[in-house]
Amino acid sequence: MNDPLIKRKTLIFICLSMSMVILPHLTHVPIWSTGVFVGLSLWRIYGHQKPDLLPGRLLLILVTLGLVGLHIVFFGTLFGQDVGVSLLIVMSGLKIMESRSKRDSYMVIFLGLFIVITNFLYNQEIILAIYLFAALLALLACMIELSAQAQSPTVKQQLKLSSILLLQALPLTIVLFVFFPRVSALWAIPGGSSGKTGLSEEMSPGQISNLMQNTDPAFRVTFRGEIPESEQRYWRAIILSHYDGKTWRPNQQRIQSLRSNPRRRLADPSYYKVQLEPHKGRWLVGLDLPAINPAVGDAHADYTLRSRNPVNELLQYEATSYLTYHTGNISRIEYQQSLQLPHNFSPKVRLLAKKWWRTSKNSRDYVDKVLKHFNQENFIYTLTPPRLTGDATEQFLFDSKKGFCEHYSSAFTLLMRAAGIPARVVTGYQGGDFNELGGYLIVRQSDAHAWSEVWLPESGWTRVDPTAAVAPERIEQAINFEDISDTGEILFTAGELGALADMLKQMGYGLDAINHAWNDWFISYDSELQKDFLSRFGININHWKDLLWYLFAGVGLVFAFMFYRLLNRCDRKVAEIAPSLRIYQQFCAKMAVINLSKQANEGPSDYQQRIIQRYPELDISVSEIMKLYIALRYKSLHSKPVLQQFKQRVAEFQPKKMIKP
Amino acid sequence: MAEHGTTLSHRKIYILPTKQGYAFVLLLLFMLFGSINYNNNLAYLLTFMLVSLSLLSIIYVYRNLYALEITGGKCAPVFAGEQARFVLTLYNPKPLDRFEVMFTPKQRPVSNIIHIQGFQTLTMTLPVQTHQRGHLTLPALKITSSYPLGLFGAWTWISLDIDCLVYPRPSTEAPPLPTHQAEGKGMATQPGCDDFLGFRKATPSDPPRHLDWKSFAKGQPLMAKQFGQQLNPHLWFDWSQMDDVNPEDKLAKITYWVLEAERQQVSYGLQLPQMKIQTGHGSYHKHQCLKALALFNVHRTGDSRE
Repeated sequence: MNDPLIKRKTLIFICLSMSMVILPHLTHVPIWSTGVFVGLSLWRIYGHQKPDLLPGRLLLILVTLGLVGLHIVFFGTLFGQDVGVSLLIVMSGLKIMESRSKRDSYMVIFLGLFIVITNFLYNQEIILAIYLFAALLALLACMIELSAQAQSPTVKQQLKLSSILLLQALPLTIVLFVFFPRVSALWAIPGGSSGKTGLSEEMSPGQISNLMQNTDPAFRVTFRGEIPESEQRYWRAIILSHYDGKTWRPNQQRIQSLRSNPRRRLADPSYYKVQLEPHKGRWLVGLDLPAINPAVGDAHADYTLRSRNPVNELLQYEATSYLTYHTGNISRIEYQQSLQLPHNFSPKVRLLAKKWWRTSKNSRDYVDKVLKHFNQENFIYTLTPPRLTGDATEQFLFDSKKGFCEHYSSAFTLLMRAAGIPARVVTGYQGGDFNELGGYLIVRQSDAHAWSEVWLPESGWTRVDPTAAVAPERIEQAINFEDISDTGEILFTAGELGALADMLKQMGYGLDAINHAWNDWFISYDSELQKDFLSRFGININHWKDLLWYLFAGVGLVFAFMFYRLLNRCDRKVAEIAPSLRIYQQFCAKMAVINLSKQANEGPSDYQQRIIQRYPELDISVSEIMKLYIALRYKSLHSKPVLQQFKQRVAEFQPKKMIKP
Repeated sequence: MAEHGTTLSHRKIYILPTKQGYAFVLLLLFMLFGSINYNNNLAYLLTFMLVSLSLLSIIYVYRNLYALEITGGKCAPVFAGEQARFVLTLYNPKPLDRFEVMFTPKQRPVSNIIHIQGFQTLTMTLPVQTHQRGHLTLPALKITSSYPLGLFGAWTWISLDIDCLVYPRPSTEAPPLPTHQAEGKGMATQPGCDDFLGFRKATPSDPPRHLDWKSFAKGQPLMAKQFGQQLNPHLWFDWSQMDDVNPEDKLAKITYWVLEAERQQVSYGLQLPQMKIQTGHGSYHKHQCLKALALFNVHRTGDSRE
């Protein structure tokens, strides 16, 4: 059978829905890719009335090949996430250009559905999910429009129907979502999937301060007990112990730990659950000194936790940490690593260290001396330190004296090493806001921080935060970035927020609490959570095949129920209006007596009009009867009094007596 | 089983994916594969939502046909070669709107698409091309619907027992009325007198002033004006007097004559082998004659289809 050509209205509707789906991809694909889509769509719509202006098959094939070539040139490959999405967008434009019939248009919509799913690879936030499910409604409405080309319902009706369909599909969707067996990835995922970045594995000046402008959440923590004070909340992520004169890096040989738990625990540990945002790297955060947790990842001798796979999706894990501890002896290899200095280490700095060391009683005293120097010698904490040329450490210590946590921790660690005290740089996050609505702590990228760790004979590895010596407020409260002056000097202005700002902050907490719950319940649902969740209902899953039985049974039951409900609901409605229908038939019978019977396909208003035209004297009574009937029948007004009134009016109605001969 | 009316709930309604439905299944497989691979719960959610929607659409397409009542109506007789117009009455006994229900007669390319609201009665005319005189039974009807998503199509077959009488195709050669065979007086009319009775084909014997030169000048065949008194004329169309070999040609000629005689308001009678219809005129008489011609040598069963 020949498919009829699609209507212009349908075409425009499809193009708009497709644009809705493509919109969130704007930042992921080159601008020309979406440009091609928009251009082709507009051309196709314009050409609907003037088919001569549409390109021929040959031209279209050439354009397609050209665009594929452009992708190869631009991306250097045809495989990968971004290039795939870009190709999908361009292809849907070409398919729109090519589509003449209903079936072509279905293919466009299917491409659109696929583009929806690719959006989720970049971002799984609830806002995007809501937006894309709205876009799904539009695509469904397009499908309805296509399947009813003869007498198509209005756009409003289509959107209403697609919403109803979506709601009715919900029970089945939930069954499928809950019971579908979750297995691990089929193959390694090429490339990173998250567009977001987190803490880098290296530290060179400027890296962390870039991150600090970013207020995106880095991770969220729910504590099982009391929440430690802000100045205790140092979230360890990466240990950097190798310095090449410019950049701090982790040591090449990481030592798998056998003795990661501190020797002497001086207080009860803290238990908490972390919800870590994807960051592409493998580091995991742990509060101060986390204990070994093989369920999450590998523990290292430097007390960091590392994931076995890159953290490309939201990751949830439980951890235990010690806030007061004694780590005991240092291993030989650790000792060597923690004293490493670059070949061209500044003699001036070395001399300074020697001078201070000579006047110090012990290591602890030396540490205090250095901190005192930072505190008293006019060092300034700023986000925009002057560019350093030559030896960065020397310049920072003697000339500029302006810097950020990375400058301070770097300089401090080097001063320690120069004096023979084992020391290393720790990067991670510090602080975090408590979200009262959600009952959890939120730590943002702007809380990124770098500090130092020194090994002292009396306390083992000991945390020292040189930044705190310069700007102790940094540790006690977060930086208010709106208040950073042009010079980059940081003002700490907590407690001076206006009412509006306070309200905005509360709203932000509310939104984040929603995101947290969304992540907690939905995004992180995996085979483990599936097991847990189902066991709460007494369903124990030993093997993923067990799930299939539940899945099929659940789908079958829900489908049968929906089938019954959808057919039965009509029947119930039929029963509801049956009495009014019966009375109406009585009325029609009375009209038939005066030779004015209702015609088979005549609605009440048409019939009324015909009666009044023939017998104007019946106007009042017939109008009233019809009004009642329409209310009962079509407006689903099922009240007993109205039905009674209708019955009475029809009973009283005597057309034979009322008409004039 | 043919019957006069039917309710679709009592019949088997079949459901299968449409062409685009199969493409959609392929898309869902791709999506599921992606969701598993990326372990992405939103992707899972979307995939499962689409699976559920397509399952739901099975119920919807079934419901579109379910309980629809179809009654066969009348079909006015037509001449062979014309379109028989079968009238069906549909009743929707449920409160739901049914969009896009398609009726396709078997082996016919044309189909009717209807939209019927809740509790509505609708009459629908199905045109079917005729080829041969006799009875034409409405071919089996395929009723289909894939609304609202177009992913699954439901269909059912019904055959309703409605006939259309198909008259023979009138001869296109326009043979002259068999005047010489007229009973009694030579012509049905008494020529030469004052009343203008109408036109007939000119014969060489017509006086030139009776010819309709005006329309002849416009390129139409030469007609003669007939004058005279109406004399209750009758014509006899007698099968045995015709020299055509093919009986269908004879029937075509007689059909033409019936129409022509009716047009000229001349009484006529029919003399077929084994059947005689007395002279008369008027639409009922015409129908009787044409029906006799249509069913001449047609056996009631079997021959009605092409």
